[in-house]
Amino acid sequence: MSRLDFTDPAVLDAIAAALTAAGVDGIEIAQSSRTLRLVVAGKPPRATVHLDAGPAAAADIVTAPMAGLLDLRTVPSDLPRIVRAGEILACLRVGPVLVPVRASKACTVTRCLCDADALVGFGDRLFDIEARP
Amino acid sequence: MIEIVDTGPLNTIQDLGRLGYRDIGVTVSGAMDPLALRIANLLVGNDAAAAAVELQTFPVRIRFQEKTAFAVTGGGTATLDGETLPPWWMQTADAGQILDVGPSKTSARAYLAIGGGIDVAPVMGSRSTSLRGAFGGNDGRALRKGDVLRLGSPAAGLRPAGGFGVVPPLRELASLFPVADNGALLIRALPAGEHDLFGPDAERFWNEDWKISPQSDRTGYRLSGQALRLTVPVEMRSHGIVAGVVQVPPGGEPIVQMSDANTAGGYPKIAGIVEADLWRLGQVRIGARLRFVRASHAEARMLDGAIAAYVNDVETTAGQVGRALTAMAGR
Repeated sequence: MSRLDFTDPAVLDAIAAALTAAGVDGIEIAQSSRTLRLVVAGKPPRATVHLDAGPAAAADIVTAPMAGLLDLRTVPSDLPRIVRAGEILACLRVGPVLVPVRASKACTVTRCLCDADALVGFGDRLFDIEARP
Repeated sequence: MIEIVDTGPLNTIQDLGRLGYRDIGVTVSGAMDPLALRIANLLVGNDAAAAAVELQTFPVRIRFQEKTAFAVTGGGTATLDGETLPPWWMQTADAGQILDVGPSKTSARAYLAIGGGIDVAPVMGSRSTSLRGAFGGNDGRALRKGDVLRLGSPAAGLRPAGGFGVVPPLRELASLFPVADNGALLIRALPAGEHDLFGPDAERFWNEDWKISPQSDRTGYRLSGQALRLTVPVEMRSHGIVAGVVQVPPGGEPIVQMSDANTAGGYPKIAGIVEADLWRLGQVRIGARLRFVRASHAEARMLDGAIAAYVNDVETTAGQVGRALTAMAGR
């Protein structure tokens, strides 16, 4: 996973669209050297997400592609599980819509880091994985 | 365009039906599970009433001849180039990719919607196939191996290549669609015009389980069970009927009129199924058991409202999520 560039307008636009879709009022993202605050409809943000994962940690986790409730019912959730690159590990529920959480590479999924139906934010760690050749 | 590489019989193009012509004897037709058709269309950014493919015999294999957004809802198990897709899911296929759809253990029919809809000529305002009338849809007939279907122009709304799905209505609205302790499907209905003429047998209609007989198709379901008898025989003139009407012919086993319902009939009517439960009946498999539950007009309206809210929520949220995912994928 590459680190996001929060100075990129396209990234900001994507995050704003995700917040709107998730019905979130706003978000504050704090990195080591800077803080970004996005507010939807003029309301103050109610949650703060700290994105300080280093490259080494990011290589062994699968993170949430957007905010939502973790759905472990739509695809098999038994672990450990060997998956191909691009395979769906779980879904994030946004209202009635299910957004796939996919493996970025062939791996073994060893642990789910959140409870079923937990509210997760963009970039939250969802699964521990071990890469396979 | 999409190519039908393989298909079972009786798979047809359907939309929400040909309304307004029953007075001249034209069957409404349309999807047996209109809710699944609506959701499939919304997932690919179509108008909810666009024409899609109703699949009721399997396996079905389809080749995409161009990059195409598609969705499979209802019953059926779908794979794209061998990769299993979750139920009630949309994805974008590349040219040459193969979609396989197999049967589901629990539901009878799957709906395949394509971005832009299936581009066949409308007949009397609908693209639905009328098999008995041999018009509408694809030359008025079921799909055959080798058919190539033209597609309409996709809507401007963005749909991400990685796909997304929806929580199926029976899960999202589970509290509104109960199942009996013995597994029988509970179908809500209102007493109809000749209900009281069945005397004590009218109560048996509500209290006993009925089985979907093999003599069931898109025109109607014949139910197996202990025959119902009128207290006094009646002769009735033919009158207009619609999908959901439950008639009792002289043999005593009820017939439920479905999407290809006759436009008129003279059998006594014992009940009318509420529209909010008709889509579930459209997914019932032959041999399944059902029990009728007496409902009220208020309950029927409440169920209609709940389903409409679900559909509206899917439409709104799918658009927002689709735009968000597409924007994020392009960062």
